[in-house]
Amino acid sequence: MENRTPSPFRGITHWEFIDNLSRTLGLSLAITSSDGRILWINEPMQAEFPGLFIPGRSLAEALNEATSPDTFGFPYLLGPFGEEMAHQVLRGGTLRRRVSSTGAVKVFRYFHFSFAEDLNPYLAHCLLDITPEKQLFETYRNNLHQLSSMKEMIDLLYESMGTQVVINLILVAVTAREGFGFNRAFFLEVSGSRLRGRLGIGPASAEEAHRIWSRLAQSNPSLRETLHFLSKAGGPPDPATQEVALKVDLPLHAEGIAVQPGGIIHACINRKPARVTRSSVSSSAEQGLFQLLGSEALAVVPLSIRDRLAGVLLADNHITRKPIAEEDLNLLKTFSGYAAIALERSYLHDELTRNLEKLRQANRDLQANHQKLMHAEKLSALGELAAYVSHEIRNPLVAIGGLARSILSEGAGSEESKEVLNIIVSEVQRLERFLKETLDFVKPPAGAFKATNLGEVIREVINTFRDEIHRARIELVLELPDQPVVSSVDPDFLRGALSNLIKNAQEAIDGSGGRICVVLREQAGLAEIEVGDTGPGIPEEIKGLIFEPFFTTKKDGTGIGLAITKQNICSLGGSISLESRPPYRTLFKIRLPISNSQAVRS
Amino acid sequence: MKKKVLIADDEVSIRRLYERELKKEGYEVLTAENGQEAIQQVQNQKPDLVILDIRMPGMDGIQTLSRILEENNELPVIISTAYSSYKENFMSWAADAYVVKSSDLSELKSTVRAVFEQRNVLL
Repeated sequence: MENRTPSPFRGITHWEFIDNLSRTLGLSLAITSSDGRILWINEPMQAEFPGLFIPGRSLAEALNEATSPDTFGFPYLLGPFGEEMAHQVLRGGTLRRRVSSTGAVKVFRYFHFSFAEDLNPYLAHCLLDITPEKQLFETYRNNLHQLSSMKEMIDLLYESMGTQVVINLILVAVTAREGFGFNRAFFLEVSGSRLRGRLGIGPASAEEAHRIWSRLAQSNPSLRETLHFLSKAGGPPDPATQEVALKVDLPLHAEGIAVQPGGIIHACINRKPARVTRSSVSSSAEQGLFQLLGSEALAVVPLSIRDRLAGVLLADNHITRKPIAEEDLNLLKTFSGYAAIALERSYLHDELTRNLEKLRQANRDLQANHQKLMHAEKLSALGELAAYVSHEIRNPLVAIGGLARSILSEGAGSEESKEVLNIIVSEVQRLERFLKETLDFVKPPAGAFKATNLGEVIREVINTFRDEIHRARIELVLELPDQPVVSSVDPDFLRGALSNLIKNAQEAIDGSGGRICVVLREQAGLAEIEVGDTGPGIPEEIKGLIFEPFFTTKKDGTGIGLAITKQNICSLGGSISLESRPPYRTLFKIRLPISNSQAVRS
Repeated sequence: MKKKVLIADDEVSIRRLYERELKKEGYEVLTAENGQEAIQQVQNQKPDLVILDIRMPGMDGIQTLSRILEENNELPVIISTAYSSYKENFMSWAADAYVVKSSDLSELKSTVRAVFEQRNVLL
């Protein structure tokens, strides 16, 4: 007696049993010999793969002709759960796919096992249709992918501040393959009672689409990378589409006309996303929009905050003609809520930035005014000092000079004493003139302007310093142009200014040997005089102060030299600035208007 | 009859110079070394013209000017000063002329002459 439980299926052969079971399960089955030659196939196998699995043929050959290997496609992307799901579906088998002549795809689980009958070994090969499971799996994966894309888009929205950036981002999200994958997207902003196009992206033509999409397919950029690329490129990414966008102008409230349900405006007013097709709109404005965009169907997504319309998003597939799925619209609706918040926030951010800039400007103006005031105060203090000094020195000078003149006018005395008296008179005159020019500097010069050959004045001034500079072993570089440069100035003022600058240059070098340059040139219709030295230079922090009255770095300086120089140059209609040009660490540049040189020469 | 010119200036050397030069011009010259003295001279000596320094110790030139004009508002006054900035002071508008002190007295002299000429025309 056998110890095994007796078979309940008495009178049924193994073949019959297997045949019945496999047919009931819809399992395609082939039995082969141990070397893989097909011996027998069941009815489902014959029906599913007619003429392919023929007895006598190699099973491997038939299998490869009938199907091709397939995968679940990156189940690891879905984490441990995805792996488990794939494992459960396959249960040790492998995936095969079959594409029928109509293009329909079926997915099979292929597995085999061996058995023996009358001590002869056989193999059973099974193909089980798991197309619905595979579809479920893919739907799950896609949904998860959409969720993670949505999360990335929302994250990006939260990171973005400026309106332009946010609108850019919204449109990129709508068109990117990693986003909603529409062909084109437009953003319309609310302007009074109208909707006006602000930005449009996506290819304008099929050729452009081919070019862009094949490039994107190669680099396969993430949403973040695409955005980064766009923001770096600057300007609209698709100028032709942007041009179309800017032409969009749609009235939100057409006077006296009821808003047609199912249209664009209806969707905006009701704040509900909608699919709108060209054939479903009747108002001329909306028909015009379809005409302008060249689309057949549009996804219309109003972006609203607390019932206030902040903008409208339009998306279409004008190239691929892919219909807009209900599911896409639902996803867009979810996204639009976040987009509207980001948009509202960006409007506030922009307004804040503008106000901040206004405040900054006000602050800058205030500071500038404050500085002007300080300067004016210093000048007025200097004026008082000037008046005091002037009075104290002038009185004795008047007495000395006046009495000398008085004696001279009497004509008495020897020739020599007359000569001496004349010296007194002229020196006093010089001093009086000095007082007038320097201490009265708050007033413009009396106007002794005359056409002056600047080169000559420079030479005169240099000559008075030549010996001193030579003694200090300072090299003097004098560059004067061949042609005379003529300016209408008070030569005494210019002389004073130049003397002051050269004296400063000489003191800066401080006897340690160095170089002073004095350059005259014509530059852009102005006369430029440069006085530079190779001294230690003026520290950055006091550069702004050196023209201030009473500001000095010299131990016994009065701090009025450069202030007077500047005043003098300004009163000549010129300007003076502090610059540097290696090796001259300090370089004062005077710019003076040039006179009509023809007039001067004649 | 010689015109009487009163010189009011706190500096003796200036008084001396003006006196010497104006005498040469043919005027009779009186001097005062401060505002009080100047007013007394105006009251007692009845000068025809006053040359007034603006900055003097005690009563300054501007105050002195108003007192002189209270005394005799017909009296011509020339302000002579080392300040060039006083021109803007409205009080000094009351003076007939304003001369900035200089070792060259020709401006002062011509101003004195001009003021007298103007007065002669008016009288």
